Amino acid sequence: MDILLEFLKTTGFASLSLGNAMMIVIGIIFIGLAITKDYEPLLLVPIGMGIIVGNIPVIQGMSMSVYDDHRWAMEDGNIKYLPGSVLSYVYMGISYGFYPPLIFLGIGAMTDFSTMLSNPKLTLLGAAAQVGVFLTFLGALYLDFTFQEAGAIGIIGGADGPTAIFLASKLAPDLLGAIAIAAYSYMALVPVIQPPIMRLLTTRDERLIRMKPPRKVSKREKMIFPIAAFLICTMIAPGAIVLLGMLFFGNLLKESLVTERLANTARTAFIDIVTILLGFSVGASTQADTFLRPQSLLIFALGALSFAIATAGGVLFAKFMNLFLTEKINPLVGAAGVSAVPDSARVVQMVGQQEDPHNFLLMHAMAPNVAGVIGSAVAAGVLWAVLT
Amino acid sequence: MLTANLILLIAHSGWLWVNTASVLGNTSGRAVAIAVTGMLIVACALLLICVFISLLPRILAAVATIWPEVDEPHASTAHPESLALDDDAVLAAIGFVLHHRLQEQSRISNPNATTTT
Repeated sequence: MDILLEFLKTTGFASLSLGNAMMIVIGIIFIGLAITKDYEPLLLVPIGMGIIVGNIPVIQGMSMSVYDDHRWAMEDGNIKYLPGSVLSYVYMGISYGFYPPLIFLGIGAMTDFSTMLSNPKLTLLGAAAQVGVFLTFLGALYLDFTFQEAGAIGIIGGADGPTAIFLASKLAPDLLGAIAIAAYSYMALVPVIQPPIMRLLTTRDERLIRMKPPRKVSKREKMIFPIAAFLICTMIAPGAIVLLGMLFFGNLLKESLVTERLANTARTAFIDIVTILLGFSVGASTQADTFLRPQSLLIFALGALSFAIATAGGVLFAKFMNLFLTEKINPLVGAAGVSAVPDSARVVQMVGQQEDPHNFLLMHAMAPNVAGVIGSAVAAGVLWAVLT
Repeated sequence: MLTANLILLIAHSGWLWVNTASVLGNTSGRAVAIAVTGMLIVACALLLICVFISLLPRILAAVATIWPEVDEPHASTAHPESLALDDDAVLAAIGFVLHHRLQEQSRISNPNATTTT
């Protein structure tokens, strides 16, 4: 009987806190949203499962959490190596920041820059949407976050999960879990957050604007672009070398036409493996005692604000550009300046087709969308360089 | 000339303000300077990409006079010898199956006919 009682004390039921239970419910909600609503299932299922795994109370003395790192300890006068938990090794990709560049490699191998190359002025919308990053940075400072934390929180407005994780791991490792969850949650909620802002800031006539179909882009243009764009961006913001280097390297693999096997691996199995590891370890890092803090709520609120400002920034800048252009841009396309690829472009298409079912904006929206990826990586590079 | 213009741009973009503000310990001034400068740098990077993309077709048109672009994709010409061998093998297999099937069909339609193969 004593043995049974001792065993019961070691079970999860005995040491489960209210916080752990809440986080497990959040994990289940994430999985439920992914399955029933189809909100970013490739991200929310691994993150949701990770949250559940990370919040099962562990037995005292057993190293099982993502935070149980390997270390050196002095025992009987000898220095001894103590290995970390399995999850801590998986989590290294986040804490050392090497998953995000690997994800960027896959994104680069998937991305077609043709629409951007065929209509260069749409690139500017990707820059306009980054206003959300910097205004939220100011907002976070106002709420007494440090400069480094404010920078990491602001990048949530870039709507780019890997970039947010990368910058948070460099500037504010303590807030990494909350920032990563906020960034991915808002990416999943793009179809919910963006449409009301887009409708609020545009008239029906503007939403009905039809744009000229993109021109055919030559192979040479596509091959030259990744190298030239990398040089331009990293000469201006060297902090973006890691993310943009991998993004454009992936794109070069795709466009060079001689490394099709590598490009195919990067955009399929490779990115899937890294997504699984990243999603799961981000989820597992959200243990109740480190995640359920007032700071996390503030981060979520600031993230939503950042995302809304970024969307509004893109739409308003498109309207501003229309003041000078003879061939008008549909301002809805500006909302795709946030770099949630391709979700925000899909939302633009959806909102545009609600007004005119024969208006196809998806191709046009992809241009600011991929420009947004570049813009948010440059913004991350700038913040990293200035705030380190 | 380009470098001089870039230096002018950086000087006016707020970097100097960042240093001044940090020296003076003016937190809000530094924050605003970082935000404004950050936005300018992102805008500058994407503006340069935009300009480059706009000029690229003209540059390539000039290059094409010396080094014309070939329409055939690289991938299909990477190892033409292996493709040729594969094609022969596939054609032989198709020919054999076709011949076999035709013979079977002719046997069914004319069971008394003799075959020579």
